[in-house]
Amino acid sequence: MPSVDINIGPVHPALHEPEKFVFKVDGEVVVDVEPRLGYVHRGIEKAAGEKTFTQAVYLVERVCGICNVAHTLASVQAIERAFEVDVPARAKYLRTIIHELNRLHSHLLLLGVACELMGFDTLFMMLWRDREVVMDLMELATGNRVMSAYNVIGGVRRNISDHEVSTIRKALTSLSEGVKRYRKAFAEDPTIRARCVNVGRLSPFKGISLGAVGPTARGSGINVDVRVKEPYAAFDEIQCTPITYNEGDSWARFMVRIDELHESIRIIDEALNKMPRGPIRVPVAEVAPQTAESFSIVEAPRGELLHHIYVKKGEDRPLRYRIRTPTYANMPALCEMLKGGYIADIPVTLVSIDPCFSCTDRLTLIDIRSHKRKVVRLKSSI
Amino acid sequence: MSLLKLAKWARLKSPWILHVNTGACNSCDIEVLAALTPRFDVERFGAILKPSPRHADILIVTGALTRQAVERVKRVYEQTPDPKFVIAVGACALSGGVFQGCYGVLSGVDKVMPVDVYVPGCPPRPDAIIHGVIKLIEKVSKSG
Amino acid sequence: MVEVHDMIIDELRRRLKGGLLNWDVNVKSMCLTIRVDRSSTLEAIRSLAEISEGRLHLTTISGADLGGDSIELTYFLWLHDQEERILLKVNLPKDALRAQSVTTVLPAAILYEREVYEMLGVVFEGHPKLERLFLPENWPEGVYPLRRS
Ligand code: SF4
Repeated sequence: MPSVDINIGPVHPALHEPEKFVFKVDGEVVVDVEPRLGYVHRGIEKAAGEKTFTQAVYLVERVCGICNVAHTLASVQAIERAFEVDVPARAKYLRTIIHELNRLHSHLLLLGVACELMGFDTLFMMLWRDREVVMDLMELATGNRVMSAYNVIGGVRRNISDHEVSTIRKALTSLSEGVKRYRKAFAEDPTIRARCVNVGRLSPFKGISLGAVGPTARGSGINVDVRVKEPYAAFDEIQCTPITYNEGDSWARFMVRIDELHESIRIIDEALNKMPRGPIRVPVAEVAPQTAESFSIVEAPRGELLHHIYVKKGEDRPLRYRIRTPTYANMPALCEMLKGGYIADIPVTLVSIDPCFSCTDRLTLIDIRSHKRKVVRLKSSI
Repeated sequence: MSLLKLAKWARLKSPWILHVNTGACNSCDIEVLAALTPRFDVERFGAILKPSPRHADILIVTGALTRQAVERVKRVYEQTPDPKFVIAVGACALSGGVFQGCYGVLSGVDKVMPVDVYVPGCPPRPDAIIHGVIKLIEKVSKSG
Repeated sequence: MVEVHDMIIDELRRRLKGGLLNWDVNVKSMCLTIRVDRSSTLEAIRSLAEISEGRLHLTTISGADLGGDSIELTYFLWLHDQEERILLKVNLPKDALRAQSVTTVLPAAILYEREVYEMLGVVFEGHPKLERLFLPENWPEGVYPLRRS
């Protein structure tokens, strides 16, 4: 049996969450996995330390365009905490609403990509069609489809009018009907089940010790959700339940996300109901009023996201800016899931943690005897 | 001669596109992908996304050009058969965008390959990307 | 809340003795910040893991060079059972950048320790494979992007 190394990549060279893997395989079974992160270091942490606080928010927004709202939220919260600024109540609710809209878009996107990977193109197109509903709402509320630049230090940039509130409600009601259909498909469709059930298992014990976060952890029955356990923005006043599945396989991780769609819709609805009137922003000094260290942890669509900053009195830029993204945290757990699985299951397991999906596009097979490389589309290897 | 005409006709009616990411933050990529899905549906113009440069007529390039990507992008460009066209999508591909000055980043893909159409935006809307494709088709049909 | 903090501090004081340097509770975030001597890092993590019966989550290790003559490591920890956020801090003098690896207790630290190693040059003793993680292969030896000098 020739021993073969498989490289999964090529990474998108600039993802902050680069994913290139070298697989040791025995026949069809993966025996060992090693992540080779690295192609991708844009040096954002260093660059963020060289920008003013206001600029840094725009830079970190572009760490990952998909969960940009989570990044700006963590960033402004960390800065506000260091500056000891209190944000108006309405702004907290608005932040929560946009944060959840962002989660809806991210989850729908991932589920669609997963369907495409499983060869279920119809469902992919349907999910993306419904995702446009969310994009429209983003555009309505923030002025842009993807990069919202909504959270600013001291509050938010735009208000939501009463008229817009009813538009959002209406759109989400119809979206929720669609989500019910998709839930049924994921829960029952034999093709999807055949591709996902028992694929890429992660035990709760391993999940905790390897530091898994977000839906990846919740799919293994680990009861974590920053929104619930360490509430931020308006989550201390809004009810939110962590969604967990105990199966610990790829299917469970997809189901967590589908149920979270419903949960997010409900959260937005509750936030729209409870949202108080009042200002949406307070002015904030441009330079740090005191030397301080602070951090903010939020539940990004892919899990726990940390921004950690040090500021110095009188300086207009952070002394140190540290970001820990969820996919990075899930990397060791992902390697554990892949071990013992089949080569053909690699793609599904990979998307089930919701990495930046463009990385999963193709893979390189390397025969270590002949050192021959063969690049194949990930899809054709399925 | 007539064969060339036929090739041009086919190219105009059905341009095949390769999407190359040179270090985007993913937003531009999802907007390119969104251009394919039912709301925008770029396929109604015959355009179709292809995974290989050898099949492509048009390269859609997104992202700040990172140092590590330079060689790969050049290779992709060389592998694409002539005549080939390049559409740069997003502020990053145009100039480096917010990543200008980061140590891993060169500014703008036109540093390494000729660009035919620039689509600005961070990220541009899918309609803008489609508009870019159409502009390119017009440009090609006018050329000899 | 407060009893939990007391319990944790009592336990750490018992196990680390002089290794526990100081602690305080951040009023705003209500999270406990503990500073330990660098020779007590592993023991502190082990104690916390035992307190939470093995259900200890390492969010990340964050290293910072703030310009002084030491580098500060912050371990962001989450105790699942107690539902407590704890920040464990260790200072390393710049002329001896050595720290204890905690990978034996928390395998999640494997990548984070590698990252701190490559960005700041901290050597983690006992790490199974202390290699570079993000930087390109041709990056010069001994140059650490996040060091101030
Ligand atoms: S142009 Fe903007 S959206 Fe596009 S890759 Fe660059 S930062 Fe991301």
